[in-house]
Amino acid sequence: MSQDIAAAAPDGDTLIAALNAAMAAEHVALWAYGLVTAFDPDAATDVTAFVGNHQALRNVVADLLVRAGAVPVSPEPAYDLPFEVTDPHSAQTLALTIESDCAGAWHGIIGATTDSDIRAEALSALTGCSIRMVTWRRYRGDTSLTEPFPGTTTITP
Amino acid sequence: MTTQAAPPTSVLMGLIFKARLHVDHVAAAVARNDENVDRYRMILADREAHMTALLEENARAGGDASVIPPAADIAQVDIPDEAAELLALIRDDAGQAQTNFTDAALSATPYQAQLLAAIAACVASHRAVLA
Repeated sequence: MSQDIAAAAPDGDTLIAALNAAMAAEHVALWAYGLVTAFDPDAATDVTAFVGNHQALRNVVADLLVRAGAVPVSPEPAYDLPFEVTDPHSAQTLALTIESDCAGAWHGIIGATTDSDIRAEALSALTGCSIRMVTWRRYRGDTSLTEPFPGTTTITP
Repeated sequence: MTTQAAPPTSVLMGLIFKARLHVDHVAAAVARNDENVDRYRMILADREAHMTALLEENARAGGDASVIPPAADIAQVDIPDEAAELLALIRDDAGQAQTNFTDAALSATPYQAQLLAAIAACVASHRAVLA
């Protein structure tokens, strides 16, 4: 992988901002999945696996940022939710939203760099989010389990 | 006598040719109306959206649209008779598409890379739906 990560973008600041947006999204995901477990214990096995996925993604993006000479954003103590989580269905929607937000952040990195190694990391992360979104749509009982352009849309509860 | 489409002249055109073939396969699978039809319908909607976006991008990039084959007559599309074999074909198409779009996204212009990456992630989700 390129050692000069910041130089891999036409505007190095754009890439750093995109990487830190992914870092922030991964922090939110790790925090919010705690709520998902609390309100949807039946999904605990999947949540455990998905938290592991997001921990790995957080570490990947932190490494990219450090190697670019940037400071990864720190997690907040807590976050405002986009809607109230009160039951399994709303917890599943929160999980779907988490994955969609992370997908958007990783998708943004792909457009912010020409470095194929960074793009490969981001695309792998985007793909993982897309597959986890299928899982959450199944839990929700959605008729449609996929979307044509993951990372480019916003989930509404 | 059968006419053969001209070979693709760019990476994007190659992806369009492959996407057209896959859309034809899944459209024929929907017409077969077997036990997997709901999953095929879902995939067809996504793949048709991909075709539209790819054709728009080809036009934006100044590509020659005249060489792109039109959608096939569904009745003439060669797909397996057995439901399990048909499922395997559609699953294999998704796997091929994921590889092709992933490879292309790594070296494309930033705008095209985002489009191709989103499609790669989508077809990966199709593999999950078809698993």
